[in-house]
Amino acid sequence: MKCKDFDKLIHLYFDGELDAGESKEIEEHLLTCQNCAAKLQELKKLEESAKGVRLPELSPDYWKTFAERVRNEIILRRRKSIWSRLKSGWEAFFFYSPVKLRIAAGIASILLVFIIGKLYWDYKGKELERVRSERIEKALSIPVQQKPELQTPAVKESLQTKKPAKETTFVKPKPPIAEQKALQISTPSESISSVQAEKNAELQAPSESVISLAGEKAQGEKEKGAGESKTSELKKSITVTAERPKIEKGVTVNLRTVNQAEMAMKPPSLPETILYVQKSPEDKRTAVTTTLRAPAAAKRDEGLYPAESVRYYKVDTEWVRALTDKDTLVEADTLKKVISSWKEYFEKKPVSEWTPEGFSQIKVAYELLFLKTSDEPLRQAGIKLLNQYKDSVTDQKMKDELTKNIFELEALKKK
Amino acid sequence: MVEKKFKTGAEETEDKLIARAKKGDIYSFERLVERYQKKFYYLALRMTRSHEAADDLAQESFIKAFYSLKSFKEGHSFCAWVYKICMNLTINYLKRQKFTISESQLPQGSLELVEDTGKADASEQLVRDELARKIENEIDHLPAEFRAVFILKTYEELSYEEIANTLKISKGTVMSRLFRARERLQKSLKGYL
Repeated sequence: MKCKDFDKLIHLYFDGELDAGESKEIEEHLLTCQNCAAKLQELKKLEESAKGVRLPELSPDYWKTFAERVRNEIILRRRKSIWSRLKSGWEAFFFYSPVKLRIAAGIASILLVFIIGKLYWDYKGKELERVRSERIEKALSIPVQQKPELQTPAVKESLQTKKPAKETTFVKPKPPIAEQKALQISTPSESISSVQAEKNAELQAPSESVISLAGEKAQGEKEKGAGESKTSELKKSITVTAERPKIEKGVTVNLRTVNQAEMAMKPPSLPETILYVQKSPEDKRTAVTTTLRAPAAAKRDEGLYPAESVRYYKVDTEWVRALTDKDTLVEADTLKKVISSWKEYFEKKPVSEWTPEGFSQIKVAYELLFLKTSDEPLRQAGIKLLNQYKDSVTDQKMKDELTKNIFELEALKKK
Repeated sequence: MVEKKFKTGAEETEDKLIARAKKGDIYSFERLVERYQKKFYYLALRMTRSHEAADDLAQESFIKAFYSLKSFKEGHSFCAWVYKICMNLTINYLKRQKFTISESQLPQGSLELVEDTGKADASEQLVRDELARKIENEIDHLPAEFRAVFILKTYEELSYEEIANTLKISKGTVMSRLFRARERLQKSLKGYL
């Protein structure tokens, strides 16, 4: 081994990093090589000199407070660290970890899509509702002759269901009027209305020809549960919802809750009637269509409603009188129905049981029909019919009533 | 009350103190700081030759150690673990500061020379003082990495392996840095040694 090779080994020897064998080898070399021995001496001198530099002694107070200061600093940082750690964590997450950043961005994107989707869905729903409302409003502004558009799909469906039963008769038990609730709404700004019919009945003897949807359902239930108790209470509710158009100021609309159970118990004689609620003639463009399937304690401001005490339709004469131009939204078919039902009444009943109310109903129906259709033969037919009744009755009071009605029908043309 | 309890436990073993400190007991950690405060302060002072910097670095080393206690493995040397933290902080500090302090910049009372009172005569003492100052100055001019190895070996008397662990470098790197640091110092102190 040459002298140059000992250069680094001298350092290792000096630092005590050589094993015993290596140390012995170095020591032997140092005995013979003065150059290497001088290098070792230099190292020793350097270390001694370096270690000769002493550090200043600090005051005991400094050392007493050192650990305390460390503790206080830790406590102080602990308080601050909650927020700062969150902040630094957030920064580390977003600025130092591209993978995490991508994951976060992905999650954020998904959330964003969900939020936008939800907002769009809500907006779309409202838009559809608005369009539907506009359509109904438009339909209601159509003249009477184009009435079919006035009906909501729900009403149409229910009407179709009822049609086959138009010839059936209706025997009305005392209606539990107390159970029927009429809801008065006087809020002109409202745009939606709903008519809810609740059914809560015992199906003791349901008629096979029950027209109402409730009746059909009740029957279906009965057939279905043949083995079950016949007196089991059936609670069903049918909701007929119609979009109510904007109602102008001063218009009162009657919405009613009809006890379907009561209907189900009655003979299916009553065809569905369309009532055109018209408070005043000015409001006819904003009239509201609703459906009534059973006799009920109709309000007087409804132009037409099924009679309570008889099984025939009645025209509210007071209401008709309130109309200034005698025009009406009541359907011609409905008016004809009024006439035919009263005609049927007078045919079946003996003269002694005739009621003057029927004459005025027939007169009003003809009157409205004439105003609506300007059909002169029809008016003449009405006059003729009332004259026939006048000839048949013996009671003077009845005769006077009929004379008055005939006169009014004749006077109509003159006007 | 808690403070009193632990203040009386000066005889408690390091392991127990560490275990408590790990659970968040700051007073136990305070006891550990008291044990090693001088060691790390002077280490930082040798490296930086600034009292303020040494004070800050030593404190920061302990604070960092407290917050990193969970990563400290029981059974290992706490002192060696804090060495790593302290040296890491100090080297980073020096790199940031590009720390080179001339004699004129040296704060008063930072480092003092050994005064071997009574034994050496005045002229000998003067030569020694001069040499010590020169060495100090030359050490300051060493790159931070070289200075760290030299200080850890000369003053802290750590083995090559310990230095390698502390600075997270290989043993060969330690040897190489130490060799070169000494070589530089010997070169610059040729007329004095």
